[in-house]
Amino acid sequence: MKSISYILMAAVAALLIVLPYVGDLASQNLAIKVMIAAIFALGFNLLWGQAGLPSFGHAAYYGIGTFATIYAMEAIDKGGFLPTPLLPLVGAAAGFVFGLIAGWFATIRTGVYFAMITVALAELVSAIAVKWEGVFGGESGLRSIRSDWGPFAFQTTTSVYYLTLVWAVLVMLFLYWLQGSPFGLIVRGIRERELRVKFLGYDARKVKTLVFALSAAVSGLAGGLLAISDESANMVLFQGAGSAFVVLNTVIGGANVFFGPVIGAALTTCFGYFGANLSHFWMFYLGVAFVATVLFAPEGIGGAIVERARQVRAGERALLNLSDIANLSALIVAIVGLIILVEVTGTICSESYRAAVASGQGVWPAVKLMGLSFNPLSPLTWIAGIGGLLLGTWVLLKQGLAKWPSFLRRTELAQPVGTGEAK
Amino acid sequence: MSDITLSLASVAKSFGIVRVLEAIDLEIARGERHALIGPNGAGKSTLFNLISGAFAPTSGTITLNGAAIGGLVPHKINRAGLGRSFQITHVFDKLTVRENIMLSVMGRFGKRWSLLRRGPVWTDIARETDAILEGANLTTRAHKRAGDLAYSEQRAVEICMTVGTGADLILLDEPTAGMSREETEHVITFIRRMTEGRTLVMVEHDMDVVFNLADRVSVLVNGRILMTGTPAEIRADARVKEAYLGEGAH
Repeated sequence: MKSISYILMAAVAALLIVLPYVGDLASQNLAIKVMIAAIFALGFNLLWGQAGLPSFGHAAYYGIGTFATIYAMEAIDKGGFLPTPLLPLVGAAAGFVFGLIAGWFATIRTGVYFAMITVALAELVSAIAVKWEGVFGGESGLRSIRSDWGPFAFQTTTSVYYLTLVWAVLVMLFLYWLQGSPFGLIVRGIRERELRVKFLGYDARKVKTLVFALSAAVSGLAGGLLAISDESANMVLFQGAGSAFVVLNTVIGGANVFFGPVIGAALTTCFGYFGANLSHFWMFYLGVAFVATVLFAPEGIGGAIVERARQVRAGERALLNLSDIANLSALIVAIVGLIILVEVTGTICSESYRAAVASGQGVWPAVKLMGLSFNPLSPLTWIAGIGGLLLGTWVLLKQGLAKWPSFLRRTELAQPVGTGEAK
Repeated sequence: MSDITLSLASVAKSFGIVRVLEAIDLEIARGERHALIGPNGAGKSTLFNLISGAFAPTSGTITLNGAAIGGLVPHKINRAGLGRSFQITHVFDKLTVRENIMLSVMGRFGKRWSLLRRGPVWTDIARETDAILEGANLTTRAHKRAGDLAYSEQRAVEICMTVGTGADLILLDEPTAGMSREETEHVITFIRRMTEGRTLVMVEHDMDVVFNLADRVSVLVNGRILMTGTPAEIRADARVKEAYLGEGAH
């Protein structure tokens, strides 16, 4: 099992190294976006997965990193001496400073109040970015250009790709090392039982503030790479969607597995890239995937992979067996059912469809989907959609791949451990 | 340094208008094993939380090794030399047993911000951690997750962590809560061994444990100390019998 994961990692590494030679420009651009999203999600997960602190306003530090880097690029263009490859450090530094301030405020409270403070601070930054056109460039945003550094030219997408790849590897090494360090141990202790950590002599508040700042720094570094790649920054970055997407990536990938956020970021970024061309409703599907993950596989895809690997290693099951194939088929049936439902409903609700109905004297044209025509007035269409969705879901639940969420499961109440009151 | 480890002078605590503790005076000598007993609602847990820094006293002073600790935040009180356990087990479930103990030992060696495991001090930390594991018979459990251990083993880990910070005053909150008679016997021996040479204050309901382990006992009734004395004196006292032992007569 261990050797398989090494082989897998080597294969991914080899693919990433040769990608510019085998892939086109679009694939390089996509890979850059994936790596940036992955770094951002890893930074977010340092706070969530390691320290157990939920931030719902991480777009702020990402955006601050982007804008700081744009200003640094401008300075280099005007004759500054900072080497272009080190630009992401400007984003990281900006993220760190703002993270230190925000973290100091947010860690005054814990749990849901902590999360609320992070949201409030992100909204505050966003509001300032909208109003302060002189700094954030208003609706048109800011632009700058990449400068070459010594023998290194940064004008091509390929050069940006390799720069991003190097930084992605460095960030992963740093975070992996941090997780295993003594400081990382204290951080994980805080996630488990903060009160215990305090009574062991550690200043939990300071530790949390520093973790917050480090998490914001990694997010800012991701933002810096975005600035280098796009050569622009826009206040849209500060909006809530950015904060939501990083949570989504981390949940889908799995917060308790180191590479989980990377998997999530890769999947959703690719899904957005291809899905947006295929369907108007790709965001809806992403939302469904998120809800399904939270309800049925709270450990995420990464968690599921790790669990499967553990079972295989323990000899409890084969790597792939018949029930996997059944589950996979059921999943596909459910997804196809969902797609039929969503696309047909979505299409007949659209303005253009209603216009088509009106111009066709009340005839409802068929909806084209996956090379087939679906008549919205035929019950068969709806039977196929609802039936596929229900059948697939039923098989998944029956097979036990997906579990009912705990509040729908019938379980015996756990017996609380006695605290030994006086007899 | 005086031979008094912990001293409380007219310590009082109110929650709103409710006076939970009034005018507590108590001195605990170095190396003493002291038990706090009393009926439910007498204020034992409150007193325990005041000493360990979970709450600040409303009035009065708490002195540890000559330094006032009343109202300090928990990590400062810990660094002043006080370690506490919890009534409900507070171990780090998802960390290994060794990591649990190491977390408590690291701080004692001043490694509270360390990013690297380099240098001779880490050899000392590792050695100390392994010694504690060895002493608690937990060596074979070292790489298991603490959450996967049996309840009595988790209690042992908790006591190891409390001792591991190097504190010379150990506060144990019902160390035998929820244990069988046999496990309790083990824990008494274990506590005696682990707290050798340290000062121990514990809240305990089990009278066998109290009379077995404590050098002196304080009886708390309605927020006041009714009396302090040796187990024999406590057992013989009529007031204590009436106020406390009488109602749960053997």
